[in-house]
Amino acid sequence: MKTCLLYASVLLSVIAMVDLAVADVAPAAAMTRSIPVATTFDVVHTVATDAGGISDKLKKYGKYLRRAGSDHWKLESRKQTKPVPGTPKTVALPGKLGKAIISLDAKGVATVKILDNGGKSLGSYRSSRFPLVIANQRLRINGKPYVLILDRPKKK
Amino acid sequence: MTEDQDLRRFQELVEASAHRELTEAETAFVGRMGFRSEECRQWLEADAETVTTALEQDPLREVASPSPLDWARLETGLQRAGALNNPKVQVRKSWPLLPAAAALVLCIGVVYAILRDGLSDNTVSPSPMVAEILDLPDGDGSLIFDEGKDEDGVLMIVLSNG
Repeated sequence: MKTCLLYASVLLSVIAMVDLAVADVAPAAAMTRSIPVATTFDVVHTVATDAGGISDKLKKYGKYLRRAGSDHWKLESRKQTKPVPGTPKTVALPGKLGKAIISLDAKGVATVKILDNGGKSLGSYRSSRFPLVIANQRLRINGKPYVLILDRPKKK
Repeated sequence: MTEDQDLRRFQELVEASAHRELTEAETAFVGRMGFRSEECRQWLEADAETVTTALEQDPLREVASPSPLDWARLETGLQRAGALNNPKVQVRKSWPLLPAAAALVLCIGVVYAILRDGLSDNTVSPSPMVAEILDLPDGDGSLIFDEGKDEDGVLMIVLSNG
């Protein structure tokens, strides 16, 4: 009988401890999941060229670029942006092509919406994997194909 | 009664006083004879000396001290009679503490695991891969190249007729 009472008291104390632990941990975990995390992206602008192959700065994207309509590509510019989920960032495209609106959701999926100079949508592209290489035949600089790449910066 | 009879009676009563309480008449006789009879007083003094000598000799000193076996027998006898606690009973009482302590340790481990990992199942696979084009101008087509590897990216090609 005493043993049963001992076990019962131990069990009750443990249940109380678990209850307290869950009460403390669950809101914290829920907050952690709901807090949006800003992510830094590299926005890489590339333009096809007549010769020269793929520049060293674009070697990482070579296998994508070669499928995008040319074997010769050069780096036009590279900028970083840090969208916060719920707060999109706007990036101007080179050559007065328009702009790209980059947004991020809580799961880390990025959406790139490209608008031309007149504000007309040229498509919305959504991906959870990076680099996201977007080659739109409507986007050309001096008649050469333009490709926008959204990538995560190298981990230092 | 003659003096011999009085002395014998006096001696019997003195020795009997060691075993029982004397009556008032007997006590009065002993007291009276102690005052009156010289022989009784001498015998009493001699008897007192004998007793004193016997006490000084301390006969208990000659008794051998008990051996450990004697003490063990005595202890066993007292335990059987219920005068001492039985050590076996104490051992049985201590046993329930062991599983209780083990259960407590296990439960504390569970609590710490919950505190560390939470209650959600962390073995759930990560979010599925997303690669899609949500909208395009009318007439445009698209191609999506995805090699399906986690470390790979995605190439999206939009073909335009415009």
